Amino acid sequence: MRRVVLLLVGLAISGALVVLAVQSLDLDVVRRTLSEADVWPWVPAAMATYVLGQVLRGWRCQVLVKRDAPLTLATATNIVVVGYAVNNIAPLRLGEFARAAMLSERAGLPFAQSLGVTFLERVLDGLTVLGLLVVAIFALGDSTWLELVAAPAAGIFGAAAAGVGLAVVAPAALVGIASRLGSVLGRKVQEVAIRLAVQTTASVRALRRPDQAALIVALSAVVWLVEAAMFLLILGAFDLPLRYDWALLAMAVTNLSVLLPSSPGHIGPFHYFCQQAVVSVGVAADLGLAYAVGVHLAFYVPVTLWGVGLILWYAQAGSWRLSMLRRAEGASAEAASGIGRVVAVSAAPSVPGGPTRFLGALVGALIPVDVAADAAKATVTTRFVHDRLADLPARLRLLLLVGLTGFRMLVVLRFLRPFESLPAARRRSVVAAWAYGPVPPARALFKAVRSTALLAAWEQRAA
Amino acid sequence: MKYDVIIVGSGAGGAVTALECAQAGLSVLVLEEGRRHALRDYGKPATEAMGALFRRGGMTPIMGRVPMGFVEGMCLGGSTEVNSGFWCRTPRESLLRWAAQYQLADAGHDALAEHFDWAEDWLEVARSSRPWPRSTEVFARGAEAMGWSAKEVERMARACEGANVCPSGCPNGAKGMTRRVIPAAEAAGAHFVTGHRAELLLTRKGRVEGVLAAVRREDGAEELVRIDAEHFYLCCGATQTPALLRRSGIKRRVGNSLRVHPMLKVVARFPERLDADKDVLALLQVREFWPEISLGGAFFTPGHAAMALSENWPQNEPLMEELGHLGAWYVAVRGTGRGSVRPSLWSRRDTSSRYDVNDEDMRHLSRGMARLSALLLAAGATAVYPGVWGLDPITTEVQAARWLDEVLPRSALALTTVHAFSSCPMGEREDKCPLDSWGRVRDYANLRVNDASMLPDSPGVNPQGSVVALARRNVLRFLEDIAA
Repeated sequence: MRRVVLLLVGLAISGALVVLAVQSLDLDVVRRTLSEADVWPWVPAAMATYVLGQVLRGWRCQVLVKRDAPLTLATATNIVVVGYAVNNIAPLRLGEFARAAMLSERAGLPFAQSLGVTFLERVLDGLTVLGLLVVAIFALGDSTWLELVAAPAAGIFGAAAAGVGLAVVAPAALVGIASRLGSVLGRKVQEVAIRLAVQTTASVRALRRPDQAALIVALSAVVWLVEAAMFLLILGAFDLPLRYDWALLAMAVTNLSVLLPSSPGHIGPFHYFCQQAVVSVGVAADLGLAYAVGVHLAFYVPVTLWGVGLILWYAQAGSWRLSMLRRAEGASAEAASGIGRVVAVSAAPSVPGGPTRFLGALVGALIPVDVAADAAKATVTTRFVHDRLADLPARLRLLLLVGLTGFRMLVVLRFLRPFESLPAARRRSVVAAWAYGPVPPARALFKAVRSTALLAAWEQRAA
Repeated sequence: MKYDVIIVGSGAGGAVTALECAQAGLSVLVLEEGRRHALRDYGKPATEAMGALFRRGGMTPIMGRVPMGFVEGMCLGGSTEVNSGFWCRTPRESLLRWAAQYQLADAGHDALAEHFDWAEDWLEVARSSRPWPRSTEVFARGAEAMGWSAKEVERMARACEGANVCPSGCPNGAKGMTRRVIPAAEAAGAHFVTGHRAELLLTRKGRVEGVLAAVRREDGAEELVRIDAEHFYLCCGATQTPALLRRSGIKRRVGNSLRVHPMLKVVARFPERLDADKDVLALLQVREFWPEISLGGAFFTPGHAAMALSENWPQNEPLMEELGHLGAWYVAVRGTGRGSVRPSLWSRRDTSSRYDVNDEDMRHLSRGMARLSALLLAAGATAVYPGVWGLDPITTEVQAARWLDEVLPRSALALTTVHAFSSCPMGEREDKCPLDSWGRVRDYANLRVNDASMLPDSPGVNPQGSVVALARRNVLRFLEDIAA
C-alpha cells in the first residue's frame, strides 16, 4: 500500500512539474527550437560523454568492492548501467535495488553489503554534486539555488555522510548498536541484526584505506565533471554559449532535483529544474525547456538501450537454469544407465566442420617448411590446430574470428589478393610480422594458432 | 535409487573422498566428465592426447592482463593422470598463514601429518629410484655452483620408467591415483561413471537434493539424468567447482579468489647432450627463494620445446636442430594476485577464469628468471632463452643479473600455469570463505567441496599433496559427523 502511495505521489509530482515547466509557454516554439537544434556533433558527443561517465562509475564500483570481489571493469560498468536503466523504466527508484541485486549476483556478495555499496555510491554522488553546485553558485555569483536546492540537499546528504563516516571509523559501534536493538526482539532477531550490520559496515571497507578512499573521491568528482560536460555539449546543440559554469549549475540542480519522487526516468523534476537552472542564468524559458528535453534525451536513450540490452542478455543466460530446473521437476522415474532417472534427450550430436583453406595456409606459414611440404603431416597439424581452436571458449573464438577476419582484410588491401593466394614465402613473412612482431595485440591474436601449430608440427617431425 | 554420497570429479580430491566413503560402507557414486582410458591409450602424441585427456583439449586459458595458458585433466583420475606426480607436503608456514588469515581450524602441521602419511603410503610417494636424467644433473650442478639449497621432489609415480610422456597419461601405469586409489575405491563398492557432466545441483531449503548430469551418448547426442543422494561432494577442480556452484545459484563468495602459480619457462642450450626429450623431466627444485619463487624442470618434447621458444621463433627456430642439447626449466611464483571464476554468459559449457598478475608477481617472475638463468649458466649452459618476447638470449650471468632489479614488461611475457586453486577457500572467516573449515558450503547442510578450490590460498608448493591430505581430513570428519 505504501509503495502504491509513493508511486502515486511520484506521478503527481511529475505531472505537476511538467505543468509548471510548460505553463505560459508556447509549445510550438519549444517544438521548433528542438527541431532546429544542431544535432551533429553535439548530441552524439554528449551521449559519448555520458557513456564515458558510466564507465567511470563502473571503475568506482570496481574499486569499492575490490577487496571482496574481483569484478572486471566491463561487469562493474554493466551493473551501474542496469541500475540507471531500471530507474529510467521503473518507478520508485527500483534501479537502486536492481543495481544492488546485480552486484550481489555478479560479485557473490551478500545483498545487504551490495545494497550498502549502492547506498554509499549514491551518498558520494550526492555530496559531489552538492559540492559542484556550490562551486557553480560562487562562479555565477547568484545564490538563488542555495536555499532552494543546496540547503535541503546538504541536510539529506550530510546526515547520510555522518552515517557512512560512523560505519567507516567505528564499525564495531554500529554492530554493537544493532546487537543491542536486536536483543530486545529475541536471540534470532539479534543474530540477523548483527549479520546485517556486519555486512553493511563491510560495504564501506574501501574507504578505510586512504589510497582507495582518495581514488574513490577523485573518481566521484571526475564522474560528475564529465556529466557536466554532457550538459555543456547540449548547450552547443541549442546555440547557447559554451559556459562550463552554466553546465555545472544545470547538472547539479537537475541531479539533486531527481531526489524527489517522480515517474520513471524522472520526467517532470528533471525537465522543470533543468529548465529553471538555465533560465536563472538568462536563457529564455521556451529555449530552456527545449534544452532540458535535449539533455534528458542524451541521458535517457543510450543508457536505457544499453541497460535493457544487458537485462535481456543476462536473462537469456539465466533462463537456461530455469529451464533445467523445470525439466528436473518433471523428471520421470524411469531407470536409465542403472544410476538415475532420465529427464530428457536434450541435444543432437554436433557436427564439427573441417579446416578451411585459409587455416591450412595460415598453419603452413607457421610450421617448418619440410613439415608444410609433407601433405600428411601438414594435414594432421592443420586438423589439430582446427580442433584446438574449436575448443576455445566461445568468447575467445569470436574474438579470434574477428581478429583473423581483420587480418585477412588487411592482407587483401595490402596485396590485392587473399592470404591463401599469396606465394608461400610472402605468407610466411606476413604471418611472422604479426605473430612475432612488435605489436602485442597482433601477437596475442596469433598466439593460439602459432602455439598449437608448432606443437603439432614438431611432434609430427619427431615422430 | 538414492545414493548416500555423490562425488563430482575423480581427481586428487574426488578419488580419495570416494575411497574413504566407500570403505565406510556408504553407497558412493562418482560422476566423471571425462572417459576411462586403458593403459594402451596412454603415452600417445600430443595431437591425440590433448583432445582425449584434457578439458577442452587444453584450450582453457586464464585471462587477465597477462593471459596464461592453463590446462587440466578431464579423464578418470583427473589432473593426476596428466601431471608429473610431484608431491610436496604443505609447508608449515602456509598452514600457519591459513590459520591466521582464514581461521582455518584444526589444520596444523601435526594434525595433517597422519593424512600425509596415509596418502604417501597409498600413492607410493617416493623419490626416483632411477639414475637422475641429464637435465637433473646439470640443474644440480648449477644449484651447487650458486650455493643454493635444492632437493629432489618426491613423486606419486613410483613405477616411473622415464617414458617422458607424463601429460599424455603414463602407459606404464605409474601414477598412484588410478593405480591404487580408484581401484581400491571400486573394490569397496564405489561406482565410478564416466562421461557424465554435472550441469546443475538441485537445491531446496538449504539442502541439495540431486544433481542433473548430461550424458553424452555414443552417437554424440546428450541426455540429461537426475540423480539424487543424501550428501554431495564437489571435487571437479578450481575452475569447474565454482562454476557448477554458481550455475546452481550458490554464489556467496564463490569463485572470487582464484589463485595460481604463474610460471615462466626458459630453454637452455648446453654444450653436452642432455637428451631431455628421452627421459623424465628434471626432478630437482631450488627452494632457496621459497615461498615466493621456485625453480625447477619443465616437461620437454620437441613440440613443447618449440612452444617454449615460440615468443622469439624467427631467431630461435635454428636452435631446434640442436634439440639434444636443449632442456626446459621453469620459474614459478607464489601468485599474490587474485582472480575469479564465473560460468560464461556466452555458452553454458564455458567457464570464464581471470587472474591478474600483480606487480609483486612481476617482480618475483623477473627475479626468478634472473636466478634461473644464472643457475643454468653457472651449470655450463651457453645460452638461456626465456619465454619473453623481444628478449635476446642470456649468455652471461651479468646479463641475467639485470633482471634482479628490473621488471619484465607484462606485454612481452608468455606465462603458463598448471596450479590453480583457492576459488572457494575454506575457513571460519565468513567474509572470505564460502566453505567452513571442513569444506562444507555455508548455508547448505549436505554439500561439500573437496578439491583444490578449497585451499585458502597458495601453499607455495605443488598443491597436489595438500589437496589429497586435506581431502582425507575433511572426509574423515564428515564420516564422523554422520556416524554421530
